[in-house]
Amino acid sequence: MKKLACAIVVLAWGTLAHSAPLTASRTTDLVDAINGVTAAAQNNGYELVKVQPIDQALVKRGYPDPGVRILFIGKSSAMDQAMKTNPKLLSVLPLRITLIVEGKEIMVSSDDLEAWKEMFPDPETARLIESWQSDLKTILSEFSGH
Amino acid sequence: MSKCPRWYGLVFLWLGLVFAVPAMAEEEEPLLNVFLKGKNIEQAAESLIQAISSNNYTFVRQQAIDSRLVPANWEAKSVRIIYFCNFDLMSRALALDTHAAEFLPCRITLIETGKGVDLMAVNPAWQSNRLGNYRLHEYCVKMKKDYLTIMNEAAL
Repeated sequence: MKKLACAIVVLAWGTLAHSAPLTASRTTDLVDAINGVTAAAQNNGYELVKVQPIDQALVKRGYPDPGVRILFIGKSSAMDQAMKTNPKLLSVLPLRITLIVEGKEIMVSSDDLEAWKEMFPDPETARLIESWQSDLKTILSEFSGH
Repeated sequence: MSKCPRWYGLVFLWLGLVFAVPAMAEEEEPLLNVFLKGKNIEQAAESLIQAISSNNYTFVRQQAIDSRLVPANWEAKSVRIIYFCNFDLMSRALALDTHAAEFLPCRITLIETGKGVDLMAVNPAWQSNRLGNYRLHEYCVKMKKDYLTIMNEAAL
């Protein structure tokens, strides 16, 4: 009976499991977090393309502060590679990094590229996505200090 | 009290999950595509911005795909991104789940080819399927519908 229960738990977990974006967090404030992510991105060959202050835009219009800000990062070679390998990937560029205020911590998460890899399993596209995933992982690790 | 063994409950729970989750996770394509035949990228961007405004969204900005990554005069002329949003929808979606930021603000990528302009956007309903938040998914289905309305209107 225990074996059956375990099997059901595993199956239920599989049913609910969703691929998740990469995340990292650090005790800091929003400005410091933006600087931290920008520096980590630059260390890995990326440039900050745009800070999208959606929190400020919403507050300015009378909405509650969601405590969310978005950074777009990119590198020109990524654009060229996407164009040559699979132009559909241009729709995820520049890469998006989300900063979420959680009390005294800032949680940073990246786009979930794993799902893209599942959608485009051809080796060349998968390799390109993996290289972006690896870069994002390094950037987030550097940000969190691990 | 009940004569049903405990594992019956687990079986029912699993069956519930099996049937409930796919009900939300309808087959969704990752990308929304509309082709604007015979237009160049300037015309397509203009049509798209008009369609954004006429569908209760706010145009945020447009940029070359490699903006700020190369000197301005080297920027790609044939690939452009247009950002837009509906602040009310954005606020409500973020209140439900901050992961909604994964697909906010809305963005459409324009790629000029010899025959016209391809409009391409990541399908928010495909993204929200993976987040497993049913209420957020409802917003994303609406957003998907809005994206398609805007893109199709630009193609007229």
